[in-house]
Amino acid sequence: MISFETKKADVASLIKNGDHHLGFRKLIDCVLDTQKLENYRQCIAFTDWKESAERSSEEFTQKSLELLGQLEISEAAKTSSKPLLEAFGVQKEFSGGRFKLGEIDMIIHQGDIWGLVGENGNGKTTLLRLLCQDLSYDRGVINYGELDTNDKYSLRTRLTYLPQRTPKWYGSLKSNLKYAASHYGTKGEENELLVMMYIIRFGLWNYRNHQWSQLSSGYKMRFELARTFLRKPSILLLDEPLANLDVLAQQLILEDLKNMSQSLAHPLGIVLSSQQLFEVEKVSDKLLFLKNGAPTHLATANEEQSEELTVIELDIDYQKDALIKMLSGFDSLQIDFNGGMFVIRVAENSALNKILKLLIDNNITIKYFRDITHSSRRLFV
Amino acid sequence: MKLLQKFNTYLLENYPLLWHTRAIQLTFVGLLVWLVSFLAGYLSTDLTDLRVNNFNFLYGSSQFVYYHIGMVIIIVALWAIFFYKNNAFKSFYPLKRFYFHKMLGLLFVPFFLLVAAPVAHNSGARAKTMSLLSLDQLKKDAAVINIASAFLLSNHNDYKIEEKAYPEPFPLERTEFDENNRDWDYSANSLYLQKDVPVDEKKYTIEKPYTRYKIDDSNTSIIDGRKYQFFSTKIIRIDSCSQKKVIDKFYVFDSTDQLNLVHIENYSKMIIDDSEYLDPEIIKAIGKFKEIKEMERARRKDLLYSLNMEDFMINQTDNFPKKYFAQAYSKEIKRLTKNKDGEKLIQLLEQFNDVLTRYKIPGNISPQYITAVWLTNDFNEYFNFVDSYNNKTKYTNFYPEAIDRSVYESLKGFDPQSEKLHTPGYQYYELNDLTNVFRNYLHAEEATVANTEWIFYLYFTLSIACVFLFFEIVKPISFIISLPVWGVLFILYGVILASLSNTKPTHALFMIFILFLIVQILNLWFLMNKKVSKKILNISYSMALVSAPFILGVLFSWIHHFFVFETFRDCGYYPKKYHILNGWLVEGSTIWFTALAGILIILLLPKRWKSREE
Repeated sequence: MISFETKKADVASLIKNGDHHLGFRKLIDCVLDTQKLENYRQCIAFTDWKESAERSSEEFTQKSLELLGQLEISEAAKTSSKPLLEAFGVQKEFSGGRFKLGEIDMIIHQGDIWGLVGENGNGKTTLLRLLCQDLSYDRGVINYGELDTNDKYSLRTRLTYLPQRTPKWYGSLKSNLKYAASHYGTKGEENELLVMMYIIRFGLWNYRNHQWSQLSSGYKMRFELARTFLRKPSILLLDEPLANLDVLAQQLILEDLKNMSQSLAHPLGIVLSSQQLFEVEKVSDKLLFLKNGAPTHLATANEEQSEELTVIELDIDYQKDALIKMLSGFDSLQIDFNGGMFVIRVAENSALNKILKLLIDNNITIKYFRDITHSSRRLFV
Repeated sequence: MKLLQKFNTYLLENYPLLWHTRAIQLTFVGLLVWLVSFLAGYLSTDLTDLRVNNFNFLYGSSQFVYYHIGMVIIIVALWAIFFYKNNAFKSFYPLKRFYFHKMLGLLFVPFFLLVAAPVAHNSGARAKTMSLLSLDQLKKDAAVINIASAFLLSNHNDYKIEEKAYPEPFPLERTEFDENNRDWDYSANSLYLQKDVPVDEKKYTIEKPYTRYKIDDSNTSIIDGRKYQFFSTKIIRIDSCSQKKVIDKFYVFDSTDQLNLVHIENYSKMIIDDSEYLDPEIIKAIGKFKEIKEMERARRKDLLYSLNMEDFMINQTDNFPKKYFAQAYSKEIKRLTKNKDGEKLIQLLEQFNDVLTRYKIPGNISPQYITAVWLTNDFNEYFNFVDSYNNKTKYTNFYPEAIDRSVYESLKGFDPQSEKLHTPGYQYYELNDLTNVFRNYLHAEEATVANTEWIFYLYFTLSIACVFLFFEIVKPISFIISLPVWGVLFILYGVILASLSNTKPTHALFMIFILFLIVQILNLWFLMNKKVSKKILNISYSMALVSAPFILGVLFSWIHHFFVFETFRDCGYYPKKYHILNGWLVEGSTIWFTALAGILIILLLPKRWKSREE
């Protein structure tokens, strides 16, 4: 876990360097970490000030740094080294043998983000539903750490699963959030303040009195995330949260999830499924690739990797035969053209630069060039 | 408005269940509906209303029922929009213990207020009625009306002159015999006499009190020093197993030993049934029980004087007024007619006119004209008739015309050129209006909310609360799918029942109980067994929820029927059921409590059902 002081320093640096959007979001995380109602109040007042009129960069910097300077954490982070969830050899077979998932092994700790990737119909949603006790499994064991598993309903209130298609809700955004918070024991003034904090955190300030039908898909997802975080989850299971979001919104939400999983007040583990491979693997600590229900653990950018093949995605105006001829000097060369891109696989670690040089030397215009050697994307192309 | 919003927010932040059900707001609305209903009842009731309408101060008797239903539908529909906006259960939010039990209670209280609002309306109407009319005044007016009405137009039959003769009635208050009495001598037709009604029933056999068509010494008897000849008794059925015979015709030997045939039904219809104000037994019943049932029971004790068979077929209680009329007013009427006391009759009819004026009853009665007609005592064979209207309902009344028209000419103001002003056709008053006023007062005094009515409100409230709670728990689609499943089960049930050679209610109840029990057991088994699809569980759970309120009631009814013995009493025509266990097993309140118990038990399951894996 990152210490509170480090977090504050990061926020200060971002704000001073003019990265106000990210800095502001991280500032809210710091305020939430303090768990002090007075800080919430000040933060809400600050947001109200910020949103009520066009503010200069200097004013914003000064005020936000003032707020940041007041923040102090009284309690040590509630971190635990015990796994939040452990799954061993979990298997699920649907009747008639039409689909089989597993065996799945997973260990989720506080602060972990697990990415589930795979094409449609390969078991991502099934796995998430297994983990949240919505589906029964045939073999294996799932342990939920310190959560009480005797009362199934109570357990499910803690295993927050956000399906891909969330149901319609009624009433105002804020009242729905307050209702959720109230059920999870956040009462009285704290209810109002905490709800407002998450409204701010997920960029819903200007939409707090909106109805479901008045929100875009992106804001609906933000609302769902805000509601989910008000439930103080220890494990968050998200099914395709990035679907229907534009690229910028995807990055924002993933970034937020990453930051909030590191919360000092309520650290949590996150499992999310997505087809946005590049984005997911950027934030994930673990990556699980599912193909016809069979899992493959992949190394993420954060993990040490060793791959035998270099895989390159390439978009050029060039004939495949000519390309094969040009790269014929590489070992185990394999070139595929999927209609839009060439996918080049060569058994040489340093092939990347050589191929790039060859392309330039041959005066070939490069429209797109990406090394996907360590990306799960290589499994899809 | 701001205060209301603040209150709402407070509930939302601190008591999500109260906020979700809007129970406090709905209770407040319910109380408001009660207040409005009371005021509506009070303000809408006036003398015209009492005159034109016939209230019985029970739910459904007034037009308020339509306003009430409309009001409840609007309020509940608006409330439902708020209610179904949020659902903590479907969102897997933490729920406290007995969450749904509390919700049921929170829905029940305001719904009960909404459903039972007619009680308030009727209370308002009653209060106004009692304030508009005075019992003492009504008693005095009833005497005037009842005596005067003997001389006024009424329907054809009531006006028959010979029936206004009022011969001295059989001087006993009752004349009857009890066929079930062992001492009854069928060959002798012995009589039981009751000297007084109905507290001290004294039964004794009078001397030779039986009848034959032939007049001979064997069927005459001396009663109170007078000689009577009896014949032609009629059978009256009072209830399913009690038969009594009442003498309706007899001869009275006058001082010259000439026989006078007496029909007891000779008494004219009583216009105002004021007997109920005076009969001590009935007053006692009103004071003590405050229930119409008791009133009727008290009346029924004393119904045996009337002798028209049809009366008993229609309504036994109608007979009592005739008897009372005979006792209370016949002497005065007879005195006026026999003595041809024109002055007194004019006074009486003037008093009658005062009564009409006081109660705003439309009418046109000329005391002089009526008196002149009666003093003539010589009428045309035909009847004049006049149409009168009561609340748009047309009534035709008849009135005789004197043959000797000179009687009219002597009247002050008589104008031969405009004779119609004084023709009988214009001598009318709105009889139904008059009777309504009295009847409405009586109903107002008698009416209380009967147990059955409370039970109705309880059932209805529980039903509404359960329907809303039901759809808070299950998805409508599961419920819809469960309907054809119920259909198939009931067809199977019908086939099995039809195959039984001797279908008794006990069999039917037992099989329904078994059917419901199987549904419950299957539901529990599906709940425990993860291999059963959640979709099937959802359907079975819908079925279990629907049948839960009935299962204990059916069980109780079955037990009750199981211990019933059917026997025949001596009188023989109708079976009489005897129950070893008390009837409370199948009483409305018991069944209601069993329904509630069933609901409370099934409401322990939703969390378990919801969290079961697919």
